[in-house]
Amino acid sequence: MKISTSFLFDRATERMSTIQNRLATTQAQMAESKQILSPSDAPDQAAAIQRLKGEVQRQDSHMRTLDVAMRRYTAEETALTASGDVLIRMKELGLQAANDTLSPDDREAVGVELQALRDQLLSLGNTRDDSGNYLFSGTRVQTPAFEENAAGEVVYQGDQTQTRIPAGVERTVQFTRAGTDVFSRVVRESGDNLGFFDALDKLIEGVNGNQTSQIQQGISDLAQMHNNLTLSQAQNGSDQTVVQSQLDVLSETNLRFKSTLSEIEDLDYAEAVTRMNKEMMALEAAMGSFSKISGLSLFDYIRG
Amino acid sequence: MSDLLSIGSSGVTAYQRALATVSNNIANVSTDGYTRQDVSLSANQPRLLGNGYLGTGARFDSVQRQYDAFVESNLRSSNSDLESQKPLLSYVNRLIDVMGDESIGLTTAMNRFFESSRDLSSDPASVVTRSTFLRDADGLSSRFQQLASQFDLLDKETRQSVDTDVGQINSLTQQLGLLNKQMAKHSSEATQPSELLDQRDRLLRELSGLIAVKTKFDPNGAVLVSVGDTLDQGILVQKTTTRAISASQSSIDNNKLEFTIDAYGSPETIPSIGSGKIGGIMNFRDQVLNPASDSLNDLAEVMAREINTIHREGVDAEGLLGGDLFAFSADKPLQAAGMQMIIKDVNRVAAAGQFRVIDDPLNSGTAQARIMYSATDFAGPTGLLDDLALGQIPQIGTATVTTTADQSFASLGLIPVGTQDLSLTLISPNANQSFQVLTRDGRHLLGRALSDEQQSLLLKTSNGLEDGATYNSTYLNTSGTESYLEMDIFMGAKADVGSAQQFNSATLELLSPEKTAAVLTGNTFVASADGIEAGALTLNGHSLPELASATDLDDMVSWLNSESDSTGVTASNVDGKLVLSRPSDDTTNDIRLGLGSNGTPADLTRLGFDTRISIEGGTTDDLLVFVTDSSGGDSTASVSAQFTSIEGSMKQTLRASPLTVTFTSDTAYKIVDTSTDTVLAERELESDSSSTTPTLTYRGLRLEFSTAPKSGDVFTIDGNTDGIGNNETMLLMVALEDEALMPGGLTMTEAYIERVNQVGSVARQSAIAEQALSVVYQQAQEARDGISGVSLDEEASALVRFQQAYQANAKVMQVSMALFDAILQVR
Repeated sequence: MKISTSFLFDRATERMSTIQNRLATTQAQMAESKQILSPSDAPDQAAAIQRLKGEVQRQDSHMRTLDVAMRRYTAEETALTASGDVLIRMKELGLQAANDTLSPDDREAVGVELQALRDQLLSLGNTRDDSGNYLFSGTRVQTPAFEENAAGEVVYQGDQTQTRIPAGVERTVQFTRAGTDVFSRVVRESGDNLGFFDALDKLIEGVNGNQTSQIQQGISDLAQMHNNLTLSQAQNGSDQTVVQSQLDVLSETNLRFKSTLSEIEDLDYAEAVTRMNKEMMALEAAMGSFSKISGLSLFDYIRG
Repeated sequence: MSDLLSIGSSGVTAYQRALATVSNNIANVSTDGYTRQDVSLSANQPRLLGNGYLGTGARFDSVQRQYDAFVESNLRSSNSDLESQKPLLSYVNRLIDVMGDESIGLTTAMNRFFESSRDLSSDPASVVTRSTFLRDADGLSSRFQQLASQFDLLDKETRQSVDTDVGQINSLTQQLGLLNKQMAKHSSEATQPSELLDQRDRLLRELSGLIAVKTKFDPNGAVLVSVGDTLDQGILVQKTTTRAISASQSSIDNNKLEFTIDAYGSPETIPSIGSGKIGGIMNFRDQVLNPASDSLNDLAEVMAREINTIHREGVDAEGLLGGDLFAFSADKPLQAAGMQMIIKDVNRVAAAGQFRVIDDPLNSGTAQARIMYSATDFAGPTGLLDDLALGQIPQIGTATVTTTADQSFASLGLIPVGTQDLSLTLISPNANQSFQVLTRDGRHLLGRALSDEQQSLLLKTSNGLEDGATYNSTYLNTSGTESYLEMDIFMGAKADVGSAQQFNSATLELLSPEKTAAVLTGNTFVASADGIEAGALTLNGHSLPELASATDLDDMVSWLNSESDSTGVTASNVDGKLVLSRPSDDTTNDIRLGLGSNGTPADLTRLGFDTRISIEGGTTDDLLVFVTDSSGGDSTASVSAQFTSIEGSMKQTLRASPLTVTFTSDTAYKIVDTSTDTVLAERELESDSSSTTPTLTYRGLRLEFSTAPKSGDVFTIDGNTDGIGNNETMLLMVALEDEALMPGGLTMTEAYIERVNQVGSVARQSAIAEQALSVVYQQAQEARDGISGVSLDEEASALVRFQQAYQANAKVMQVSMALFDAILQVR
C-alpha cells in the first residue's frame, strides 16, 4: 500500500490534535474537579444527574421546612412549659386560699398574685414564633390568640384549622395548634362549659369574694385545665420526635443521593493524573516520531 | 547509423515527457483532489531488416490518471455519511448543553418553584416567603421563555445553514454543468484532460459532503447527478443542464422544511434528505429539535393549566379567590415562549384553602373537625330537563312530561345554583297538576305540602337529594325574610314594575327609562262552572275569599275589586281579558297572584293566568323541580322555561355565607345558614364506610370529625377570608410535583428529564456513529490515496529512474554521433 505524502502529514497532524484535545479536556476536568464539564460530555448521564440534583434539592428543601417546624415546636414547648408551671402555682395558691383559716386580707393577697399569674398566662397564650406569627391562633396567625374585651372577658380570636406541612416524601406533620386546644375549656357535668380564662376569672372572683365553694370549683377546674395542657405538651413532644426522626432520615437519604451524584459527576484525581501522564507521553511520542518520519525523504539521499 | 540517433532521440523525447509528468506530480503534491499521473511509454513500430525486425526506439504514449471509479464513489458515499453525522452531533450537543444546563435548563427552575411552594406552605403569612414564591414562579416562566428562545435560535440557525448549503449545492451543480460542456469536446474519458476529470471528482466530492448524490458517467466522463431514489428522479445535473434545488417552509407545518428541485420550471419535490450535511441538519430538526420543542410547549401548557387550576381554587392574603398565576401572551398561545407570570402583588398569592371549620371553644366534646371540598356528582339531574336547559334568553325552552297512576310525579330536572331570573311556566295545567320545588335536603319551597307517601316517593338520592335528607315544609310558599335563604322565589302569576324607554324630544338622546306601574294581564277569559275556594288564591299576600263560580268575567272583576283595599290592586275587563293593575303612581310594588295552601294551578287558569315559577335574581342553592298530578290517573304537562344566565358555582355560594353545624343530639345535626338563619338540612350522622371517624357532607363540603361530636357541639364553616396562616392550597401545589400528569405516567419534572434523556441518547448514538463513520471515511480516503495520491519518495525514485533513462538515451545519441564521426574520419 502506497502512503501518499499529504496523507502522511494530514494523518499525523490529525492524530496529534486529537491527543491535544484530550489533554485539554483532562486539564479542564482537573481544574474544575469535575468528571463531567457540560451535559454533552456525558449525554447519557445528563438525565440521571438532573434527577439526582433535583432529589438533593428536594431533600434540602424538606429539611428546611422541618427546621421551621422544629423552631415552632420549640417555641411552643417553651410557652407550654411556662404555662404548666403557672397553672401549678395557681393550683397551690388556690389550695392555700381554700384554707378556712385564711383571713379575707390574706385571701386578697392571694387574689392579687392569682390575677398576675392569669395575666401571665394570657401573654403566654399570645406567644409569637420567630416569624412574628401568633403560635396559638390557628391560621389567623396575625391576630392575637386571646384578647380581653371591654367586659374584661378573654375571647379566643383564632380559629381551629389544623394545618399540616410536608415533611419528606408522602409524609406530613401537624403545624398549627389552636389556642383552645392548649388553653382548653372546662367541661362541667351540667353541660355549662366554661372557657379557660373564664374559669380562671371565676377562681379569682371566688378568692377575692371569699366564696369557698367557688374556690373549690376553681381548684378542680385548674386540675382539668392542667391535664389538657399536659396533653398538649405530650403532643408537642411527640411531634418533635417525629420531626427529628424525619430529619435524620432525610439527612441520611440526602447523603446517599449526594454520594451517588459525586460518583457520577466528580473527578477521580488519581485516575485523571494517570490519564494526563499517559496522554502527555502519547503526545510526546507522536511529535517525536512525526519529526523523525517527516524528516525522512528519498530526495535527501539522492545526490545529483 | 541514423537509426541509432533516432532511437536515442525518441528515448530522450519520451523521458523528457516522463520527467515532466513526474515533476508535475511533485508540483501537485499538496493539491487537493489531484490524481497522480503516470506515463505510459511504448515501443515504436519495428522496421523489417533482412529476416528480422529491428526496434526503432520508444515513444511517449499517454499520461494516465491513477484512478479507480469504485474507490472514488466509495469515498463520496462515506463522505456523505460522515458529513451527516457532524452537524447532528454538534447541534445535539448544543441542545443537550442547553437542556441539561443548571442555569438555563428547566429542572432547576421547576425544583425551585416547588421548593418555594413548600417554604410558603410552612409560613403562608410571611411576605418574604410569598415574594420568594412569586420570584420563583416568575423564574419558572422566564426559564420556559429562555429555553424556548434557545430552541428558536437553533431553529433559525439550522434553517440558515440549510439555505447556505442549498446555495452551495446550486453553485457546485452549475460548475459541473460547465465541466460537462467542456468534456463534450472529446468522446472518450481517456482523452479528456486529466485536470478536468480531477476537477469533476473534486466537485462531486464536495457535493457529496452536502447531500448524498447518485452519479452516472458518460463514456466521455460527463456526469449525471441525482439526489432521488433512482437515477431518473431528483436529477440536478444532466449533460449541460442543471436544475436548482430550493428549501422552503412547509405550508402544513411551520417547523418543517421542504426541498424542491427546479421550483420555477417543472417543480419536483424531494421526499426526504437523509445524508450529507443537509441530511444531518434535517435529521436534527425533525427527530430532535422539533419533538423537543413540542414537548416543551406541552409541558408549559400542562404546567400553567395545573398550577392555575390550583391557584384559582385558593384564597389569597386578603381573603379573595386566587386568579391565574400564569398566562400566555396573545401572539404565542400555549407556547413555552409566551408563558408569563401575571401576578405582581404578593398578597394575591393564594396559599390558603377555600373553606375553614371552626369548632366552638365551648364544645363539650373533643371532636375536632377538618373540612374538604370536592364538587359532588349527585345522582339524578344535573340541569333542567332536555330543552328547558336551552331556555337562555332570547331562547325559550320547552318540554313535555308524563305522569302516570304509578308515578304521580315527573322531574323537570335541576335549577343549578346561580341561575339568574328564571321563569318556569306550566302551560294550561289540569285541575290536579302543580309544580313542586325542593332543595337537595328536602326543604319544600313551592307547591303543596307532600303527604308521607309522596315524601317517600320523592325524597330519594336517585332524584338528586342528599343522602339522609329529611322533609321539611317550613319554607313552603314563603316570601321575604321568611323564605329559604331569602331567595325571591314565587309561584303563580306575577307582574313586575314596568319601564318605558324615553327620549329627549329635543336632542333625541336616550334617557334613563321611566318606571311604570305593574300591570298583570291574563289570557282570554274562558268561562268555567267551577268556583274558587276561599283562600285558594292570594293576591299580594292577601288571601282571596270564595268565588262561587267563574262563569262571568265582570263578576270576577267585582269580586277582585271588593278586596282592592287589602290587595292594592284594581281589576278590570279589557277585551275579554282580566287585567290587574297597581295605581299609576305606584312604581315600586309588583303584583303577585299566588296559590294558597288549598289552591291549584287550575284555580289560576280560571282567572286566565298561567302558573309560573319566577325567581328574581340568582338562585343560591340547587333546586329540584317536579310536576305532580294528584288525580291518580295518567296525564301530560307542558312546561316552558326562560332564564338570563347561569353564573357562579356552588362553591362560591357556599363561601359567601358562613354555615353552622349544630348537633341537636349526639347523632342528629342541623345545618343553618347564619346570615339568613335558614335551616338548610336536618339529618342524622351516618356511618361512612370510607372513614373510621364520623363524617358528613353537604353540597360537596365534607366534614371529618376526629371523634364523635357530642350533643350541643357547634361547628362553623366559613369561606376562610382571614385564615392567612392556612396553607391548604400550597400543599396541593406541593403535591403537584409528584402527580403523574404527563403521558406515560410521568410527573412534570420527570417528563422534562425524560426528554433530556432522549436528546442525550441521540447525542450518544450520534457520537458513536460519528466515530465509526470517520473510521470508514478514513479508510476510503486511504484507499483513494493509495491509488491516486502522490508520494514524494515514489516520485523521487521515478525521477531518478527517468533521469537515468534520459541520460542513457542521450549517451546513445552521443555514441551515434561518435560512430558517425568515426565514419567521417575514415579516409
